[in-house]
Amino acid sequence: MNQTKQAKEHEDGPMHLQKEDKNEVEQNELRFRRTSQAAILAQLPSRQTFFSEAGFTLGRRLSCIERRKSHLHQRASMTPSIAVGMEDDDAEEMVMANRRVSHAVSITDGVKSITDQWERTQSIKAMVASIHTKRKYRDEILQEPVQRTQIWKYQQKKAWQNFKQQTKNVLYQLELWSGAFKEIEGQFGTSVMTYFRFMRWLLFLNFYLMVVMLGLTMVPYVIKINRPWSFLDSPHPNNTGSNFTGDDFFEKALNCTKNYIGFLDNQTNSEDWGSKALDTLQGTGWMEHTVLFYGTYFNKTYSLPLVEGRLTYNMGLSYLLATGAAFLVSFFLLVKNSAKGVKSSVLDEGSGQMTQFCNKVFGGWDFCISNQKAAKEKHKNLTQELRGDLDNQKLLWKIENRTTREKAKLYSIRVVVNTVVLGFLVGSLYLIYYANNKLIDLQREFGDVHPIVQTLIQFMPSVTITLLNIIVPIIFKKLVEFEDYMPAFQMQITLLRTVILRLASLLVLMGSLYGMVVKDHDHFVDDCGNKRWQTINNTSEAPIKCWETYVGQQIYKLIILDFLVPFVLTFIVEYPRRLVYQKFHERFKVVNMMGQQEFDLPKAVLDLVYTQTLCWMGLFFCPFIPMMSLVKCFIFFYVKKGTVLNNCIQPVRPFRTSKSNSLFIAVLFISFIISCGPMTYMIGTISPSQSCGPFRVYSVENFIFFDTIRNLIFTFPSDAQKFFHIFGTMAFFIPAIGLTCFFMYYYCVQAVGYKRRAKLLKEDLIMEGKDKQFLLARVNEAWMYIEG
Amino acid sequence: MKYRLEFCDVISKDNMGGGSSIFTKQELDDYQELTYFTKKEIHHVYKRFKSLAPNPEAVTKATKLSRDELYALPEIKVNPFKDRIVRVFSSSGDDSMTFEDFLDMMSVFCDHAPLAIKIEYAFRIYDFDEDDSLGREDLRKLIDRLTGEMKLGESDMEQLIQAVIEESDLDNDDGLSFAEFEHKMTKNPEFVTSFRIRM
Repeated sequence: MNQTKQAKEHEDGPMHLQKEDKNEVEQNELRFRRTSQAAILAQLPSRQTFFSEAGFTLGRRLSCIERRKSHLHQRASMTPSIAVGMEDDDAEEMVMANRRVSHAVSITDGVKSITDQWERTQSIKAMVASIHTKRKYRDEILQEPVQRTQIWKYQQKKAWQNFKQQTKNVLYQLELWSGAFKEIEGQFGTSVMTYFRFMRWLLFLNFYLMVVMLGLTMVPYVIKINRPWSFLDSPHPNNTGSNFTGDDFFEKALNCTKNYIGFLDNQTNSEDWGSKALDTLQGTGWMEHTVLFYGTYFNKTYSLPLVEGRLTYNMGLSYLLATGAAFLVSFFLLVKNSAKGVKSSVLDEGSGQMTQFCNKVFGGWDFCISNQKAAKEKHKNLTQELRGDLDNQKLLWKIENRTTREKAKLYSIRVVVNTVVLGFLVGSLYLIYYANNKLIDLQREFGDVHPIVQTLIQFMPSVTITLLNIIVPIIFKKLVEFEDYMPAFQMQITLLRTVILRLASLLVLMGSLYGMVVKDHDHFVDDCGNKRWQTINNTSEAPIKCWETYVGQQIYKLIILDFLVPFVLTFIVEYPRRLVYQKFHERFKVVNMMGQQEFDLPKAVLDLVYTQTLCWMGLFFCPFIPMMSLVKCFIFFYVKKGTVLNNCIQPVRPFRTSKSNSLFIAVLFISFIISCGPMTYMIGTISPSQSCGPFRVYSVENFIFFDTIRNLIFTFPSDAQKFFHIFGTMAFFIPAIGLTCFFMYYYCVQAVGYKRRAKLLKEDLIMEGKDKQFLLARVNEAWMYIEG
Repeated sequence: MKYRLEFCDVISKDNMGGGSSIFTKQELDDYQELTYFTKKEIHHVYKRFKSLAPNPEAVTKATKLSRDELYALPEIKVNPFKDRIVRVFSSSGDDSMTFEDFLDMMSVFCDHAPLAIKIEYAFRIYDFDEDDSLGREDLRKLIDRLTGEMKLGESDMEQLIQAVIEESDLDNDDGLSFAEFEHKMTKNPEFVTSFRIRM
């Protein structure tokens, strides 16, 4: 290298260097510097392990362990290195050999007790070397004589490790659908996988909810211990000697129930098989008085054969607490899952434009892909994505140079589009509200028409919601193109708008139901806790004799529709579309332009979130809903798997896996909070029906659901009562809120501090790098001086 | 020796019940200790190793699979970095792998392996000229492999390489050292999910 450089200088002479020759000389110099720099760099202690047999990290790992253990001992050699048996260039051989003598630290350094020995062998797993090498080092460690102190601690650790290993083995076998996951991953990569993983997580969530709800409500209802089967057979409370303060409430409940059951029997007896089938879809008729809905449950009294007297199972309390527990379980699981997302997104500082290229280039290829076709598509997608990102960068450069006039124009367009979107949202919500109210009028008009027509009318609000959920997002997608955002932001904002639409439509539904249940009506008598107990004036509107079951039925209808419509759509739209494409795409250009079905990830996830929201909303009124959600998840997994593997192609712009996961969980969390709110409000303000349900026997006038808990607290000893009363007073809440705010502020400030520290450390790193370059240049000069 | 035997006694509990005829208990325990696999997974990996050999019946632990035989594994076959993977993990440096090499490779790519070890091996795989740094040539080859048949234009390629180096080169040596690579990849949440092969 040196000679070449000198020869070059002789040839050209420093005076007459042409531009190209100058460049070439510079290139040569650069190359020379780099090679000699590389030679020098290789001698740095932190790089020395590269050429060693042990591989890269042994020195680094050991240095970590050394530092941890030796910060008390202040060892001289802070970066030990292992230089064993190298095969490298002659140039560095000499220097390395010297270093070997002076700095060699063996892997057994610092191993004194048997615990140390064990920990060191565990750390070998993380070594970057072949198994053969690792085994050699492991044996070396084991052969060191050690003190057998603290055997007990070591054995504890060992047993714990074994236990963890065994449970991992067992759990790994139990993992549901792992074979299917591998298949999908091989063909589509990890971004589509997040959808299926999310589905599996929801499945388990519904399973836990089902266990809690059914275990506390249905199981005690059904078990056979000499129980009364219907409320009308319950023994009068006076006989049991319990503490009911007034038995006129009990009498009232009895009368109301008799009326209600008589009404129901009247209806069901006059129905034929066709009507019964329709009833299954709607949840009315024969289904109304089954365990499915809230209405059948009541406070049971059991008489055990061996025990004297009777036991009451306080079904009301357990129903309320079961709902509460179900929500708590959901909340807990949601928070746990979102914590994972938060952790990884905190690391991802400066995301978006700054790091996208690095991430895409180094993490772009999915090593899971095992399918030739999928690999080709992945290549294509990656190229397109990279090109798209490069265009984005050029666009960003352009945006920075946007004139004020262009900006003004763009902002006014955005304002217009946002107004249009808002208009659509309000319009859809009004449509739903209108449909709900029209229902009543339509019922009045078509009261005595064929039952199928009646069913269709009943389904009208649900169908409206479903149709709007399909059509309006498509409009949003078209609209957002006018706003000229970055593509990733476009997707996020469309998702946000669709989520608002869905949740708002559900809220409007609940709102109109609330209006129906709570307002006084001219045509109806208010009795037995129901505002629409009986019809006056011979109207053909149906009375609602048990409003909780009615609300449960509306949600049940929504769920049935939510199950049937995508199911049917998959078979009617997606499979034929693939067949059409396969047969005709060469002949007809239109077919080719429409393209193949792309897997619409945001829409699919929103569907899942929507189902789960319905589940949470209807939990109180229909305890079987988690089971229905569970079944739906299970069936849909296979349906979606089939359609994805057969009909769809990879999405052109794949989602970033981690970000999308945290986005889905965030949307789910918002839906959770939104479904808690109306339900709690409804339960907290409306009086329960006296004709059905476990709360039918009031204990005071103007009884509400939560009074059950109050009654329970009154039965506690007075000290315990005082303790619970404190929770309700201001003296507890205000300090509690204050304390919570204080902790939140503290953590926020801490986070800001950490960010600053990270920034300072990065600047330090940069400075160190510059220092290193400087020093290398000096060493290089010295080297050249010595050699030349 | 005395301590070694005692150590092995404690750790060699037969967790899975029925033993295996291919590996001794000692070997299985060894592998479990030195890799990130459970015993069942080790058997699974061995099955796949056997399926790649031209003569599955004659496969022993000492069998070496040549490069072309290794390329038959579906995940490796379609991988644009297959030659680098095989080169990095081949302990004899001649692109052939014994079962232990294969096990090592699968252990690095499995779910349980920590991020640090994946980053190490990724760096080695991406380092085409093996000079312990990802220079411009390395990046160029990397991007070429990624794009497959459709190549990026020259100006696009330059823009991309420049962007990558700007984003991650902290010490201005026109390439990525291991420290810089590690610094970037620990913050990349996609890396850990994409750098894995499921058995």
